Amino acid sequence: MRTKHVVLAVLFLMTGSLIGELQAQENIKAVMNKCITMDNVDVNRIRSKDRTIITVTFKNNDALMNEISEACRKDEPQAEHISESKKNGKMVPNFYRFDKGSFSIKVNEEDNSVSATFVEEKGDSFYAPKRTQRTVK
Amino acid sequence: MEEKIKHIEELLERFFEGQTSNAEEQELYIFFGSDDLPEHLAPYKPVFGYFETGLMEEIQSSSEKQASVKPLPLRRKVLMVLTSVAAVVLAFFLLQPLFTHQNEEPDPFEGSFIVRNGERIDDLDQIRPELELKMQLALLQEERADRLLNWNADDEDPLQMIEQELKAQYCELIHQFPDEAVQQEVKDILQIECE
Repeated sequence: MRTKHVVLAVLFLMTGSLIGELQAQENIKAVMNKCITMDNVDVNRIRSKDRTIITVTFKNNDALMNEISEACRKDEPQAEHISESKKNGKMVPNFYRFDKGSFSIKVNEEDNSVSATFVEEKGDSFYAPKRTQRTVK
Repeated sequence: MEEKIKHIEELLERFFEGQTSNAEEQELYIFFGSDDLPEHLAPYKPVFGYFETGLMEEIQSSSEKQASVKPLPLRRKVLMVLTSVAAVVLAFFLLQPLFTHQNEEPDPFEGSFIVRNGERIDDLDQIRPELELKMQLALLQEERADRLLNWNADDEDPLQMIEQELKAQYCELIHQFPDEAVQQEVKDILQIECE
């Protein structure tokens, strides 16, 4: 009886962490898709046979910028390579390389404009957890 | 008697030529129905026996066969009709591609669009050049980032050279695009200045 309870608990924990990991993989992608329906955000969605590219540009939208930063933070464990820079005392993502794509973001402090590009190559898994390399400018 | 036999012989000849009336045939049946027949006419007895009884037996047996065929139950009839309809519909969907534009290749940019100033543009013919340009630029951005990420001090190309080389590629692509508004938009996205 006790052994059975232990096995069930382990299975429950493993399932929970797996689900959490799967959900976390889609954060950046979800935010980029959300931008398509947002006001005052210009979007280019380019679909080709090999990949899908979503580019968003916006100005003076700190809330959206924070949302993107949060999504990047959540997807960090799945990134192969991360490039960041320090701005105004905060670490801001520049480029994330994943197994099947990438995410890059540029912030223009002069006019508070942001452009972000999300590239997803067609294949089985966009995110493949690997040893993450981090580069700080 | 001889006259009767001669009359029967004439009737016989006309019978086999299909020229006898019903009354005359009946006369032949009655004559050949008796057992007392002239020797030269005896061989014809079975013939009239067949025509009188054998044909009737054949007609009766075919009507019996028809009577023995039972009508299909309603459920089975409905099932047959439904099966036929399903077969026709399936054939239609399987064969339809043969009659439609089978040779047309799908547009590689199918599903692409641009949202600019709140307006969504889905017309691929209108935006295709812009889509191609932005796709090339996005890939160059990836290449730039990958090269910078993988750069280390032992490499021959310093960072500045990589940046300048890629910037030159960006600008070359941008200037190939005729629309100046789009050119400026792309420069804003990439945050570069082209000479």
